[in-house]
Amino acid sequence: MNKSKYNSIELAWLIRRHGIEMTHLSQGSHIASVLSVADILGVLYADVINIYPDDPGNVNRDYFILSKGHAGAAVYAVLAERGFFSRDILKSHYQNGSKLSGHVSHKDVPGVDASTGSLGHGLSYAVGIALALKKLARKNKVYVILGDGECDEGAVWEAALMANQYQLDNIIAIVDRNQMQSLDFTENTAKLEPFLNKWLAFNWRASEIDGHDHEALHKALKDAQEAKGPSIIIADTVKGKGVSFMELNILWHYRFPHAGEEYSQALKELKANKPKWLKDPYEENE
Amino acid sequence: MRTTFVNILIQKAKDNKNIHLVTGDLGFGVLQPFIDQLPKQYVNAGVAEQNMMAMAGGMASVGLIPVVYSIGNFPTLRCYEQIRNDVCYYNANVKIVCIGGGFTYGPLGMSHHATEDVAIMRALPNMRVFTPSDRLEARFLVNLMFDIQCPVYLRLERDSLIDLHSADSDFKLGAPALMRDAKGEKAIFAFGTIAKVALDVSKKLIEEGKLLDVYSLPALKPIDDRAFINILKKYKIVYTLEEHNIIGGLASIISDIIARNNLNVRLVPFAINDKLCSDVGDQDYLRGLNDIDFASVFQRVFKNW
Repeated sequence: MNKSKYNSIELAWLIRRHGIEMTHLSQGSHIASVLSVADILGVLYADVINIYPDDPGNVNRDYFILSKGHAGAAVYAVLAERGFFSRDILKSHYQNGSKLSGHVSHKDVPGVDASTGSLGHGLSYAVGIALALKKLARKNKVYVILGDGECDEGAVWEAALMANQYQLDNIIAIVDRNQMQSLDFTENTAKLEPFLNKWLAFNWRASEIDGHDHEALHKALKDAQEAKGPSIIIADTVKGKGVSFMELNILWHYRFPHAGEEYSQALKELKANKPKWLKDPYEENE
Repeated sequence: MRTTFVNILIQKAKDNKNIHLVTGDLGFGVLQPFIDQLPKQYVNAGVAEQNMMAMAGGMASVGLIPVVYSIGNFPTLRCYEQIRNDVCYYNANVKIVCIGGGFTYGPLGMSHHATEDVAIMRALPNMRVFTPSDRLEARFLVNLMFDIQCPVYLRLERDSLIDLHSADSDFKLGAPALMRDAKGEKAIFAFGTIAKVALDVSKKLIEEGKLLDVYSLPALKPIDDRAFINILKKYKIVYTLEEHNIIGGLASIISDIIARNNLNVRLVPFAINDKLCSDVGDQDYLRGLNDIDFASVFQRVFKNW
């Protein structure tokens, strides 16, 4: 496995830092989702997923799908930091002529296995990959991150049935359970609770953890790797995590950090939590 | 043609272990020979077409060749976005097979009439649309389907033991296939088993001294304009006959070719007149109600000859 030069805490911080910069520059949406999923991605890409940045299509790689494709900036950021492509490309995100669309696309973006954006596709696609890997007697794992709002989609539950049917122990799903969707809280929209029990009832190995606690994420992912059937980790997160005025505020599903107070305050708060030995990629002289 | 499909599929899947049959819980009896002979290459995806299609995309991404089988609108309209995003965007090697094009399942009701499928499947980039009219075309197309590495939509109807082409017919992808050369001044184009109606109309007209050539279209995408131009130039009037909505099917294809190439030929379409059919009856009966049966087509062509 290719080793990350950053630990999971550093990687998560870099994802948040890039996320603020990318959405600020592009005036793009979904920064709050980027912030909520950053720790999950940080842990996955620092220590868990088997990747080959110099050979992205290596047949021994683990697969990763961000089914909640609107947090694409976070994936592009982590892929850049893991060496799949240059950091400089991140600045083009969401802009004319860029390869980095707002929702994740695999086209010309090394390290992206699946294009997403329309919700409710990723788990099914992952089930297809996992089933094919079983048929080919390969040991790779398939990691997929779902949004909780995404679980309104019926196809998610079709996929849940099928993964159990074929006992796909090579599939590990993580729900970024930030409690919010586009217009409101999930429980005010289409109640998901009892959410854990739903997955248990579908016969998945399900657990619920603090999705910002790296130790808990590491442990849950390790347990999932050893599970007998399909696994899901409900990672309780805070939408907008790390920037106080974005946290739990529905506005930030779509709003971008505007120049001035918003942008500078967001950076100030992020920097207050920067691992001190880590260099901010946007500060030349730091 | 369904049996032709299954037989060739079994043969191909024996030769290539990557080929997997994925059914949406349909094909009772028909798929049994495959299941019996190749159980490890068989997946029943349940009654969950959206998942089935995205899953097929995922399977293809790892190198398998999923052949997704269902009936009517279930493998197309029901999971259209999965076909677009999870199959076509990747130009994935997924084959989508529909049994029950047009009014094949007529008496089952409107839900089972596949009468807009060609229009929507044609509209998808990277998709090929194969529409056999008899077993010979089916044999050509099913073989071809496995020779090309891209998404294919294969629209089948029920088994027909009547071959409309002669056994030595030669088919070319994208070109019309001459079914009857009457040396006519007019021609009729059709796809699917309704081509038999076109042949019958031509036969009757010939008896009346009116010469109508008949062409089938084994594929509705891709379309080779040059092949069509050479044929269309021979006629002043051409008819299209299809068991499909008038929007987006064969009439649209031929009108596009005429317009695109500035051809001086008049098109008279026979198609379903942009409606969903609530009448109950079998394929022939519903063709009659929609004026695409032998009597309707013959009378109109004869009267205006």
